Amino acid sequence: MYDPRFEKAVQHKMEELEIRPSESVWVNIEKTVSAERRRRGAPFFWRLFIATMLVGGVVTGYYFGEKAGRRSVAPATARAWTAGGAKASASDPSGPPETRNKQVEVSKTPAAASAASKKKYTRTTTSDDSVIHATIVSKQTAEERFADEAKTSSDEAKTSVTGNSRIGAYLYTPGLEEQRYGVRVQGASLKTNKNMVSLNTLSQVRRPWEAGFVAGGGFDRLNRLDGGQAGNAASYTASSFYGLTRAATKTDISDVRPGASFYAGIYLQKQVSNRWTFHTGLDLHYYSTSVSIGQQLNVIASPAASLLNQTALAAAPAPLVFTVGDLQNYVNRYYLLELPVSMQYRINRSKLLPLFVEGGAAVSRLMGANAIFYNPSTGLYLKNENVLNKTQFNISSALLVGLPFHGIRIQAGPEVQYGLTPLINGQGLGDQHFFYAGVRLVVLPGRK
Amino acid sequence: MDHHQLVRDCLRGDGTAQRQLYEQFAGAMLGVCYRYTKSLVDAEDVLQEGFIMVYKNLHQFNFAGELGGWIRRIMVNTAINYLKKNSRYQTDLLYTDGVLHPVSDDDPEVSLSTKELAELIRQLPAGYQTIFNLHAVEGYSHVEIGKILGIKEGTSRSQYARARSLLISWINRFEAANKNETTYVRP
Repeated sequence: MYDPRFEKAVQHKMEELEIRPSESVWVNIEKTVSAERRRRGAPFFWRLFIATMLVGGVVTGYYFGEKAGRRSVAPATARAWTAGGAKASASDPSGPPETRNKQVEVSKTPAAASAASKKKYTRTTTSDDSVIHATIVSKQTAEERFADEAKTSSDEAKTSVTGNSRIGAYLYTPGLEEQRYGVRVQGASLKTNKNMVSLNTLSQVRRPWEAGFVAGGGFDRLNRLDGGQAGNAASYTASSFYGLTRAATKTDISDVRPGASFYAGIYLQKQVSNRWTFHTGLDLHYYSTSVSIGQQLNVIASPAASLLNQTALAAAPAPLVFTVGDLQNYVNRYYLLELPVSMQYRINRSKLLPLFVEGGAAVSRLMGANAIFYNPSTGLYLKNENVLNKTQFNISSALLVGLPFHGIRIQAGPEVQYGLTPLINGQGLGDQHFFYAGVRLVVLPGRK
Repeated sequence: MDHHQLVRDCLRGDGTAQRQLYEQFAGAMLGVCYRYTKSLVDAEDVLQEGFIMVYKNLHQFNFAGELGGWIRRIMVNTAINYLKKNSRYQTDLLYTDGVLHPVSDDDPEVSLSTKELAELIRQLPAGYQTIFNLHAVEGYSHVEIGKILGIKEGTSRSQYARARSLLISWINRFEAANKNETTYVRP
């Protein structure tokens, strides 16, 4: 039997073996560990983002809706102070029963409401001979405003407004109060024999911020901005590849094929005039493309063999490396957080089917990608996020149609988007730009 | 700072503590990696991967054993995975089931320096080198080595016997050369 003293001696000596590593080792470790920490934090970020979007959208939508709702009933609920100090609430149900009950006309249906709107006034007599003047001016005939005295109770004034508001549910009436309700109460005056009361409400048109949701889906592809650059990139790729492999044909290098793309987010808008509306928001956009590749390699590519980013590749414990070929399909996925700004112009004045054209720009930040790219120097497909331009600028345009749905304003229509920033910052890979085409859907919750 | 506190600080994401942990063990661990590989660049690659694994799995360290021993096991596993994945080592790692080679009774006095002995171990073919390191230095049994490398226990014994025999012959030649004050020629 052999004597383990030899092994013990070897063991003892090997335990003393210490070699000082180069500084680059720690640099790479630190980089990878911090990247790992960020990656672990990413799921939390996505969850937080989605939750924020949902809560933010609902809260702001509710807030704006509530605010608008309060304004819409303001003329009827505003309290009027008589000159003698007596307080009379226009919607006070505790008023004299005669006043409450003697309603000449109450609009209960859209048709009736419309008729009431055309009639422009209602008339009634109060028991204490007080005369209440209400001037209701139709929006459609704003230029033909007229003031007509009407004997009506304060309850009727409210009923009149509420009745007309039902029209709004069947018409696409974005933005303004008067557009939503079809009529605008410009002023109301309460006159009694002895006392005179004035209500000055809604003297100024307010255009508040509104919040909603936006989503879209379609396809995207990588376009090359410049034909010459694309040609150079292709020939550079092909010559490098043939030089290295000596066996492949040009068809081995896969085309980058279009893929599905969709997005969702919160949407904010502010009407700046009767036709122009400013839009912004925040959304998460998913892009994808696909390439045909060969088999995955189980070897760790030497850092020196990569032109992309030696440090990052060396730090990656198991890089995704594929040969060229058409054995399988690989989907490159990109997730971008977008901050769009745009202006929308209302083409027609139709309340049933309004049309909008929109143009804008967006700045976006790449949040994650699993994309692999062909590296002409090695003849392989490699996964490397470092070759991507993480901040992207793009322009977009859309043609939308307004679709009213029981008070919820919906806009839908086709849109296109083009990335001004090249996707890849590497040399010899061509200026690849994202092009997206799809359908857009905007939902603005209705007001109460 | 004791290792418990150091680990806790590392788990909190303290960069200084992580650097301190690295500084404390990097030298010895590079020595481990160096024994399993054929070049210092490869050894540093293994060290790098190994430390990434250490930081990733530090929450699994239960303070039951020595922190150094735990890190060392990670380094050894990382080195073996590296050898399996790296094409340069793959051909040498093809363990063939040969005739059982008896372990020689030679028990030379190892008067070589640590560095010289490490260099001789690294001159062994990769298969021999791995099994010799696992058995003679790390203290794994042949059954354990069989499981780690996916080979039969007998194959591990046979390979180890050949590796030991070869190494001893080199040590003898080396020491003879030193005695005769002639220039050492690498095997």
